[in-house]
Formats: sequence, C-alpha cells, structure tokens
Amino acid sequence: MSGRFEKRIAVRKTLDPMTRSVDLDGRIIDCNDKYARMLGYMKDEVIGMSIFDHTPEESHERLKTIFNQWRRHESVNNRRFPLITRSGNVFDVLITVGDVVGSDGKLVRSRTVLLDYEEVQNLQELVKLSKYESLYEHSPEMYRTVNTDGIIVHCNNRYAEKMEYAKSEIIGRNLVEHTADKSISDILINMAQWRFSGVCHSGEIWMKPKTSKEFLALVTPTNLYDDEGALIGRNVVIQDMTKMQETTQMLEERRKIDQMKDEFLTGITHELKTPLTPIIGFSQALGKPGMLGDLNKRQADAVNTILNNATHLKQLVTDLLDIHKLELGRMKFKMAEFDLKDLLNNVTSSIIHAANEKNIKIKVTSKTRGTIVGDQFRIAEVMTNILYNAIDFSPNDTGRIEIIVEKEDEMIKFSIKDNGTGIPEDKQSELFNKFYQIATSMERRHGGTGLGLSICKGLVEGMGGTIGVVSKMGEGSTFHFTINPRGVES
Amino acid sequence: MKILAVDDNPDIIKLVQLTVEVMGHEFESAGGGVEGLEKIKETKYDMVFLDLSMPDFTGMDVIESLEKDGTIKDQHIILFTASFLGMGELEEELIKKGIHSVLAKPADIDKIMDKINSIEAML
Repeated sequence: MSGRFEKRIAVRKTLDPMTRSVDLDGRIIDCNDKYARMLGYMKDEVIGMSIFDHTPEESHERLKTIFNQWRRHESVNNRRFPLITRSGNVFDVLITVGDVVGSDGKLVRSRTVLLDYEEVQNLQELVKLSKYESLYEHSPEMYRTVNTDGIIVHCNNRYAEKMEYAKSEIIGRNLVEHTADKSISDILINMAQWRFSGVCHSGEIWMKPKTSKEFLALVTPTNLYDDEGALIGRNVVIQDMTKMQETTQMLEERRKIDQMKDEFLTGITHELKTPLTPIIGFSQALGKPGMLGDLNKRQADAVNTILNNATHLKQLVTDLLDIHKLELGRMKFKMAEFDLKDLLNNVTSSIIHAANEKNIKIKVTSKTRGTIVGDQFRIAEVMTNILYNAIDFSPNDTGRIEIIVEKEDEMIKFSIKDNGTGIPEDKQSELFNKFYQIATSMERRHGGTGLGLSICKGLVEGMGGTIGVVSKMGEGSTFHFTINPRGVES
Repeated sequence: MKILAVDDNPDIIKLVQLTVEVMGHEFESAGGGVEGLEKIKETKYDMVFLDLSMPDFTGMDVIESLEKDGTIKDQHIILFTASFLGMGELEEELIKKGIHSVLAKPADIDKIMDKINSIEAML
C-alpha cells in the first residue's frame, strides 16, 4: 500500500501514457520509452517481442479475446488488463487500442495506449484532493494523510510547523515517530482496529514534536477509499488540546477549591455555633429573673455586653452561611402569597425600637396595594438590613426615613430614603461588595457584619430583581430594589 | 415531663438541664448516641433533645435505629443541632422519618422554653 502513495506524491498532474504498436500477429513493432522502462527492458529489446511475452500466463486467454476483438474491428477502450515485467512483477493497465489502416483500408497494425492503472487512480485522488487543497493546506488545524500502514503520505503546513519538521522530513515517516511514547500503544491499537474494521474513531493522543514539549491532541480521521471502495488511507484533522486541557485542569482545580471551601465553611460554622450555644444560653439565663439569681446592675451590664457580642458573632456566622449559599446558588426561596401591608407592618415594627432610640421618624408611602407572591421573610430581611443602615447613618432627632412601595414596569419597587450623611460617589459601587463595612469602617455603631448589603444584593437578584443606591453627600441616600411580584422558581 | 438531652458537649447539656429544671421538669442526659439510644429504649421520655453531630454514633444513627424498630413515632425528638442542614431538604426528610422538629443552635433560651412548652401542650 505504501508504494502506491509514495508514487502518488511523485505523480504529475498530466498522465504520461505508455504506447505500443502491434502487428496482426501480435508482435510489437514500436513502443515508447516509458513502455520499455515500465516493463524493465531497453526499447531495442522490446521490438520484435510478442505481446504475450508481456502478459502473465493466466491472462493469455483474455489477451487472445481482446486481440481478436481488435482484429474484428471491435473497439477496445480503457479495458483493465495486467502486464508482466521482465522480473515477473504484474501491474494493471487500462488498454485502449486504436487502428492503423493501410491505403487499401485494411488493418495494418494497432496503436495501443496503456495507462498505468495506479497512476490513473492516484491522479483521480489528487484531483479529488485538490478541490479541498486550499482548505487542507492553509487550515489553522493540523492535517495529515496516512496510508493503512500508518505511513504519513501528506501533511499540511500547520502540521509541519507544529511538529517542527520540513514537509520533506515528514512524508514517508511512520506516524508512530510523531507520537509520544505514552500514546504509542493507543495509536497502534487504534490503527489495527481501523484496518480490521474500517471504522475510524476520534480520540486523544499525545503528539511528539521534534524538540518542543509533547502536547495532547484530538485526532479526527476520515477514511479514504479507492474507486473500488477499498480502504487506502485516512485524512486526519489534529487539534491541539493544550489550551482546552489547561482550562479543564483549571476548572477541576477550581471545583476542588470550591468543594474545600464548602466543606471548610460548613465545618467552621458548625464549630463556631456549638460554643455559642452555651454562651448565649447562659448569658440569657443570667439575665432572666428566677433562673440563676439576681445580678446587681454592673453584673447585669457585663452579662448584657457578653450577650450582645455573642449575638453579633451568631449573626456573622449566619451571614457567612447565607452568602455562601447565595454564591453557590443554593439559596432556596419559599414562595407564597402575602399582603404588602403585612410585610410593611412587620418590617416597621421590627425596626421601630431602634428608630425611636434615635428619635428618627419613619414614614411609609404605599403607592401600590394588594398581595404579591414572594419570599416574605427574605424581602423583609433585605428591607430591615437597609433600614438599620439608614437609622445608623441618620442624625439623632432630625433623622427622617421614608419607605416607598410602588409598581415599576412589571416589578414592585421598594425605596428607602434617608436624610443621612450620604455616600461618596466613588464608594457607591463598592457598597454591595463582601465585607465592605468591615474593611472600611471601624466606627460601626450597630452590629453589622459588613456582609449585609452583599447578602441583600444576592437575595434580591435571587428573587429576580435588582438593587442599587442613589446618594449625594450631605443630602442622604435612597436605596432601592425590585422584586418580581409573581415570584421566582427556586 | 421527663426530658432527655443527648449531646457530646457537656456545657450544652448543662444549659438544657438548667432550662428544663427551672421549668419544673425532670431531666436526664446522655453524652453520646449509643448511651442516648439505650436510655430512649429503657425509659419513656416525653421529649428528647438530640444532637446530630456526635462522634461514633450520631444523632442520625439514633434516628435510623428508632425508625427501624418502629418506635420513633412514640418519641418527641427535637433535633438540636448546629449543622448546616442546607436547603431544608434534610430537615423535611428527618421529619418524614418521624422526628418532631429541628431547633437550630445557637438558640435563644426563650426558644428552648417555647419548644418545651409546645410539647407539653401536646401531651
């Protein structure tokens, strides 16, 4: 098989035929150089030989038939027929026999054109190939053509470039030479299966360039057949998978890190909550009349400070878990129908104590009424979070906070407007980042974790809405968020 | 009422004991899952505070043993846990298995009292 392909590489685009001229007795009276050369003779030696001398014995009967057809003026066109060389090698030709007639109109001799069958076939393939030649040659992917023995008979520029050889160094090499050691057995098995079944499988193999590092490649072969349907080779597209492989590795590493983070957070929050249980429990028990005896005022203050800080720590752990769930997209929302009025009542009653402490007025403006579908608990959490911030940053006695609920497009919009200090423009976009508060402010008066607004953002987005802030220094801030009143699927 | 607390943390046992006894109920404790399961099988408790994450024999093992011998329906088990139960699915599954409810640690002492009161109201 390899010989056929080697020849194809050398074949020119126009066929170079053999010719011979035969008399009525079957003696060769003339031939061209190629005819003599192909049969292994000098031209002088051929003249005078019988055509039967150049035909394998088992085909003599067929030759007689063809010869007699010619003598009877029957046409012989492109008939496939074997020839035998001086050394006994048999090869096929396509015979076309033309007549040479005398002045009397009688047949004098033949003028026979013999085309090397392989050359014809190879030329056809070459033409077939040439339709795709530009694609093959100039593809950004590597292409190579191998015969069934695994000999590389053709490759494109990209292949040569990537494998760091001149094309002339590649043609005629076994593909094993371009395969990394760890993939050689794979490719040999693949080739054997392919030769046996004709089915070619795509697969990954490690390629071995001349000097550079071996690289992983996706190999996609397409079978090549001759005109009789016999498998003669395969065209192979080879895609460098290095980038893909690096990406896959990176993703796998990231997945592992995420999993470790997940396990760590789940573990650490469990470990933090366990000691908090008796700390909070006993602090509360100390403050409860009739449980552990009465405390004097200084003792009660001290216990209350312990309790406040433990509660803050508990909130931090809860927030950490919430943000973790939001990041992983594991937060589940409990969708139910509820009345906006109930939500607003619950929210205001939960913050009224803190507002009263600073003598801050809270006003509720409801421009829309009725029931919506959503996670009331989580919406209240977002509102409470923003409201505590508003109370925190509003001045004592003159502080005013307004809660506005209205319809905006298909959404419900909640706005919380304060007349506090305002937020510098360059800080507004950072507000919703994790730990913003912790990292930037040591003078936090209300126990926030710094996770508050980032959790709000996660919750609002999880419920199909958006969150933002409008603020001017000295003029206060308005935080606003929207909620899909038809709920979202968890 | 007769109330059992199963927890490997002795300070949490002490807290539950204080709460239970202040409320005028009888208290017993077990420091691990095996001991807890033995006590539950020996004695009829009106209520059990059960920790989930304990070495060797966990709260889950206790629940599954009681589920297997079919006696879990005779118990009022409050899973008292700091575990991140995640998404509420595990909680639902455990309630299906026959526990009464989940109380997340750290819980306010009022919440522990509320739990005890709600079980007492059922009896």
